[in-house]
Amino acid sequence: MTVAKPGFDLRLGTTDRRTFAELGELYRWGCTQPEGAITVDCSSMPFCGGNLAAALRAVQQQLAAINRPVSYGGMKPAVGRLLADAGLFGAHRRQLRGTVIPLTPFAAGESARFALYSQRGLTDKGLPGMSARLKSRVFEGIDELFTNFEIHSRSRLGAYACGQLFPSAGRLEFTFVDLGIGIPAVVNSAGHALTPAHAIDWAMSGNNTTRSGDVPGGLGLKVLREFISLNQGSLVIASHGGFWSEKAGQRVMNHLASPFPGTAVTISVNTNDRNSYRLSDDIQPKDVF
Amino acid sequence: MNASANVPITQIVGSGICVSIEDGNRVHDVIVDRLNSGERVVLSFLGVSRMTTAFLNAAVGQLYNEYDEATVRSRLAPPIDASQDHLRLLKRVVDNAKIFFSNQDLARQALANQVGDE
Repeated sequence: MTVAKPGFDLRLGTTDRRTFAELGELYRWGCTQPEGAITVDCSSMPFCGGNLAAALRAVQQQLAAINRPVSYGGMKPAVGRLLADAGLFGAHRRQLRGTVIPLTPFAAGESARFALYSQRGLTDKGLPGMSARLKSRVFEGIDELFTNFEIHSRSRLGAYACGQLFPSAGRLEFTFVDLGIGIPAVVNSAGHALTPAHAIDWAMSGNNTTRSGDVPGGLGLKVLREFISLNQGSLVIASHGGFWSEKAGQRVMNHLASPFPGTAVTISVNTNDRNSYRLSDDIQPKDVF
Repeated sequence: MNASANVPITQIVGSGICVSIEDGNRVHDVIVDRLNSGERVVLSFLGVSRMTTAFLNAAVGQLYNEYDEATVRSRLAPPIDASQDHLRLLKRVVDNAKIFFSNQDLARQALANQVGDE
């Protein structure tokens, strides 16, 4: 007779602080388990955004790296379908859907592949109308996420990206996760003694950068952040002990008691937005003569 | 209300490379012809891959020497099929032309220099 090993009771949901606190808890719990397969009980999880497959895979990867491979049990069919279609259980179980930007692993040096992936993935997913120059700057901001992973994260396990369009909610969520040392460690090592959440806030502010001899790192994200703010979307960042989010100009900063083992950035776009955007210095044809 | 006349730059030039003063003058002549016919000109930048200020000065800039600013504004419709790069260059040329031709002394001096050079 064997006694069933108790699994971790996972309750993810939307892309918010509670979800990342839960992922941090899962990682902390996994680290305390004896080596070998560990089971995650998903029976109490009524919903999980497909884009969170990137964050879940990142935790799974971190635990596998210390010989604790994760398996999932009790998943409700609807949740299982969402995560399967996102690609969490492998390409063979994935249904190609127009609402999904499939879970994809990336390594440093693959910035061109990431740029192509994000551009292809986000096109035709309900992004609001925007001028060609603004679109280019918004994608530069998304590319900046990858650059930060390459330059700062020191991730030996790479990074993951995944996106999901929620048509009924009018929301497109795109999550990029690296498995590196985290923004707080990078900011602190640059001589700024800040709490984890304030370190993220510092990194997101103005022209702050920890890069030496480089262009200010905030510039690419600045336009993306302004666009998201006008669009009534949101930016959500979880990085080790820090959680930071911004929606409609309101910033929220929290401490994660159990750190998320990496950095996850989620861009959430309001796809019900019927406005059309352009850079304020774009020239309008009617203003030429 | 004036009828609109589409002026497709690349069709007049014969390619997307719009860099020479001669080609600019050809576009200018078509614009003037349409304006004199009482039409409202719509410049189309479709297919323009390279463009210089010299070309645009010849095509558009000199219109500000021939017509007053209000007339140009009312008779030239907003350009179509134009990228931000096209619009930036065109705006620069237009703004310079407005300043240049509003200062007749400067314009005369420049013309004299040009004639002297030839």
